[in-house]
Amino acid sequence: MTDQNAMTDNTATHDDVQAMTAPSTLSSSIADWLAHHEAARAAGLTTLDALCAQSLPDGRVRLISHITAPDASRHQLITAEVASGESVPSLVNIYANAPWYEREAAELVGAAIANAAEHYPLFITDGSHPLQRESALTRRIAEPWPGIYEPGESNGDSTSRRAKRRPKPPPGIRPEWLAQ
Amino acid sequence: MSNQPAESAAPSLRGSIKLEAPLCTSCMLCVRECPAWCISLTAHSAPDDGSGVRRGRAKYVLDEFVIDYGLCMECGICIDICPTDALSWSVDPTPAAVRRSDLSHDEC
Repeated sequence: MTDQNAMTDNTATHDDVQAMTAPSTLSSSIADWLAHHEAARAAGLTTLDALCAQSLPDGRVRLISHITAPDASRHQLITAEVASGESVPSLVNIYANAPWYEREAAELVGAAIANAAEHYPLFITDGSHPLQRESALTRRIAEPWPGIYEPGESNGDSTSRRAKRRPKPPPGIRPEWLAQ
Repeated sequence: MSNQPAESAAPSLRGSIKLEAPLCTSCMLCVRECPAWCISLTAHSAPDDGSGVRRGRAKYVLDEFVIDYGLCMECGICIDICPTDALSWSVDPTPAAVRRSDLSHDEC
């Protein structure tokens, strides 16, 4: 499917959209994190669009930066994986808007980014990292899951629940959280 | 129809989520798969007196289908999983509201 067709045809598949929009990805090490961003900025990718962090199952944190040209004609992802105990230098001297994203990553996912934790907290004051895989989502444990009802039951009326099948566990809750 | 936004909308556009209520069978799949827990659905059973193959058996009648746009992250899993294609993307933008409670929309 060409770009022209995809823009006018709402049945484009996920792969079509990916082919049109996906940027190239550069896997970096922590040591090269600054050097790769300096090189990208020198090559004209002067805008830091976003910097995200992702908690990986083995305890590491993956940092993903999305950098673009000012006219959005080119863009690129740079990723780096940070093991526990390691720290990533801040991009503040390359992209002036980096600290906000870095503080978000540090608070939400627990990414170890130099200088990010020295500022006042953005929105989480208890020191927890809710987007880290290991942190229990207490709000979800306390709240009733809307999917617990069978078809035909209404909220507040669970007496007629037919336990024919083993109920599906609520998504996003681990059994060990409930045992606590 | 050529002036409708749908004609020029990019395929990756994600506005709000639209429900074709007559197609919904109240199977609860979207409610259970939603990672944000933003859909709540109530239905009651009624005898199906239509002329279809399920004549005489009970069917579920949708009472309420509420999407909380304060929680929805527009991932589209409910649309992908809906077995009867009752859910689809709408070009209408995600509703905005002054009060938090006004972000819950009954799609019926």
